[in-house]
Amino acid sequence: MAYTNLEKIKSEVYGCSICGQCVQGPVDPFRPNVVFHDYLPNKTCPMREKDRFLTYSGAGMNTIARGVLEGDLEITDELVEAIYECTLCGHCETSCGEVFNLIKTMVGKDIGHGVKTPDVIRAFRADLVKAGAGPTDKVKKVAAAIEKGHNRFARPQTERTAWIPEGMEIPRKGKLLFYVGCMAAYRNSENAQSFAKILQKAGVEFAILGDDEWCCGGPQLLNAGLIEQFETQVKHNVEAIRASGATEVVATCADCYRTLKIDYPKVVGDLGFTVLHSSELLARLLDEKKITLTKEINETVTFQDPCQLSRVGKVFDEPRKVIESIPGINFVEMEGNKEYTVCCGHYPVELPETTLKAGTDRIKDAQAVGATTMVTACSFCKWSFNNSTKKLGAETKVKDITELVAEAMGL
Amino acid sequence: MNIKELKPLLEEIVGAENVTDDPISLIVYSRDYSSLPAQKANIVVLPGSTQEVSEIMRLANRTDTPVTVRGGATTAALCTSKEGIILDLNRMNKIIRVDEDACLYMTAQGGTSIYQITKELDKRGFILAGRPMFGPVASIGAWVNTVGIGGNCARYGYFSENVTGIEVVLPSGEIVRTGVNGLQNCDPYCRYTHTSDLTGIFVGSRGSMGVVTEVSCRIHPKPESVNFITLGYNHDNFDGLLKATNLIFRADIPDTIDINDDGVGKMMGLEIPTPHLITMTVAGHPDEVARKIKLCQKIAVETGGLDLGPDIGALIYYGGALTAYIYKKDGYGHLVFIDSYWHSLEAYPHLYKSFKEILNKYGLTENGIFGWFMKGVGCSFPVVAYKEPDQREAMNQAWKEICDAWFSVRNSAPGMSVTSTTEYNLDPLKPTHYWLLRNIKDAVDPKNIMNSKVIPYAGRTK
Repeated sequence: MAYTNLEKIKSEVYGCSICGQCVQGPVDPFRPNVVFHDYLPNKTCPMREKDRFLTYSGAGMNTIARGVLEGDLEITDELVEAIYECTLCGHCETSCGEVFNLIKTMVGKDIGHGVKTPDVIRAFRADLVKAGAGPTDKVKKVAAAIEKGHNRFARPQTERTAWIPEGMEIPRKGKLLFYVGCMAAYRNSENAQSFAKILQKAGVEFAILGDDEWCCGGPQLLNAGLIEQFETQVKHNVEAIRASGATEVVATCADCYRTLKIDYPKVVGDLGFTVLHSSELLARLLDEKKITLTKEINETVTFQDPCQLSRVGKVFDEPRKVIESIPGINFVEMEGNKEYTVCCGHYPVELPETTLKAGTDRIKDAQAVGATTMVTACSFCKWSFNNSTKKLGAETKVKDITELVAEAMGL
Repeated sequence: MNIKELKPLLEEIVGAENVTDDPISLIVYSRDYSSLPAQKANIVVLPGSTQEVSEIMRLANRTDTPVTVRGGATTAALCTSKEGIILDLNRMNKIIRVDEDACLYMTAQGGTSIYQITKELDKRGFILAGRPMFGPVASIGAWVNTVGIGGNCARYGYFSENVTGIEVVLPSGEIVRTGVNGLQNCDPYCRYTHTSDLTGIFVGSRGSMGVVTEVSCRIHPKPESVNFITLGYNHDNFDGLLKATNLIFRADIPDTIDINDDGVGKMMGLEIPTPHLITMTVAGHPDEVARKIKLCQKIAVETGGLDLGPDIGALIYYGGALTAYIYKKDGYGHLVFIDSYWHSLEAYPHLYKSFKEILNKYGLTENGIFGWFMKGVGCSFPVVAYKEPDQREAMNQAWKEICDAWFSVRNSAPGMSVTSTTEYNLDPLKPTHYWLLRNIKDAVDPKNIMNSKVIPYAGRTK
């Protein structure tokens, strides 16, 4: 079998020294971490927490990749399952690169980076797909739904706008485009509704693509190695967004945000529009005094940084600024936050055991710091935590940041 | 008994989800934090309790199955095996007690990472005796097995000198507690009692005497402040470097003192003013720290050295231990620690020169040396960044030559990751030392099922 994608990235594979920092924490607990000034979390890798074998870790994934490159491992169903077990949260890469942040800060030299294990896994999956060995059946079903109906839930595209609050008219063309995403359109409609109401109240004109919006394709296609299918989504969406006249696109889902902002330009080059996350726009509206948060919310609130927003997008100050502006809120941080956030376990498709374990562990982290409400900024996080709280019988409320802001605005 | 027969018995002990013989996992567990060739064992088991470890060891002993214990796997050659069971202790990661109000000691399961422990102690205003700078994720049980060295050892000694007792499962499955914890009514607050120091049998035994399932050790108050100072020396002034090190110890200055060369700095692309460095951490009350820094500066003047200030030391101290990462700037690469040659202070120049010459001869020019010192005794860890797989053969050949060269230097004791275990672990021993060691090994592990390479010929009648 040819590993053309893996071959291209083999410098990363061999760069992994199996030191274990990706799953066990840093070499020196006292070393000043220039990004994160608190204790680093003990739990880092969702699959490792579910399955304690080293196999299911950043180091494990790189060693497996090395095994196939050197001909020591054959492609089997078990291997494919293992490679698709990773949630691609990127915690391993951040932990691995921690020393470079320090060196860069101390001497001003950029001398390297952590092993890009998520990229290794994406390349590996692309090779598996090319060889007909991947993806897993579960991913195939989601991919087929997207191919057929342009959304991951196999629901009619005409229902994509069903979330729109009664009486609200949203145009299809405009400078600011709200990219709703499959999750908010079909499942977490309260996120989309809250955000639309906030924008309307702020007097911000915005548009949506409506049933011309297709799944962004990032979590379910690109990350699954289905490159050609992903590119189809990219081309359609970029064309549709350009046709809408948008110069700025905002997403409430951290995965859509990452895909549009980071992955789309790799396919089509310059997008011709900028991409931002709802939390960034909310912080801006707050600065511009276009929204005022006046209603007291007497809750102890923590923020779950979505992996793709914080680790990839480096957006973590804005959501905190917004939350802390709400009167009555006692804001607390969980162990493992900002770039060192701990994954909810829900990515790229629901992995029942991994997702539930990661989600319940994180709810426990929130409870440990006394949070009564966990706020997040990603549809997948919310999905995972809603399931976890049910499983735990926990009273912890789970809200998207748009819902919290809408509540504080009395909407 | 073959592995197919063994597997269900192991699953009965720890649960099927904690046993694997799938080829993917065996490949993953075939490597460690070193350049050594992969070795594939037959099965990997994750025990969750001392009782489970005991049952596994009884089964292994009964069936003559080799067992290799794995913690963080940061010490080369000890955690992989070409046969038998890999016993991965990472599920045994609980901190059992921190006695901060009375005896100042703590207890953790053997698979608990040093980071996890240090973090918990830091929250309470305490530190462990050592700082794990040699490998990122050492576990406390493995640290006992490899003696335990790192930052702060100039102040507190080897980590194992601070151990107050261990719980260990012998290869036969018996569970033994050492120190006062070996008495009927005592917690593990003190290592020494009215009988021999049984803890010492397991310290440094490198997984050959038993599975360390629990470690108790002294904890120390966190110092009020820490600062760094580095003194620089030229090639022609090894005498000054050694004299300065001795004077620094005599003045009781450092918590950590390393003798490094500029190799690591060069790998980072830094200009280091001198090729040899004495890097220190100094801790305590801020006034005391300032006084000690001044003393160091005076010693530098007296011995022909340069005061290089705090920054290089801080950088090397915090960033240097992870030189594995530094090489990634050049694409795929790896690092090897030819680790742990215990040596006297005066042996250092000989070790340094041979190390440099041999590596340069093989074109392995991206190298550096770390040496932690305790009251004149050193433990040097050369690091070499080399290209995998292109330079692997050259690296392993150079490694052999360095081992030979270092072995021949007086007062240089070979350490962990030597190239020929029989030659280096047996030949240097005085016969009576080997005789006693062998008898102890035969008593606790008559079939030599645990890390059988460590004590050559154990378990054989010949």
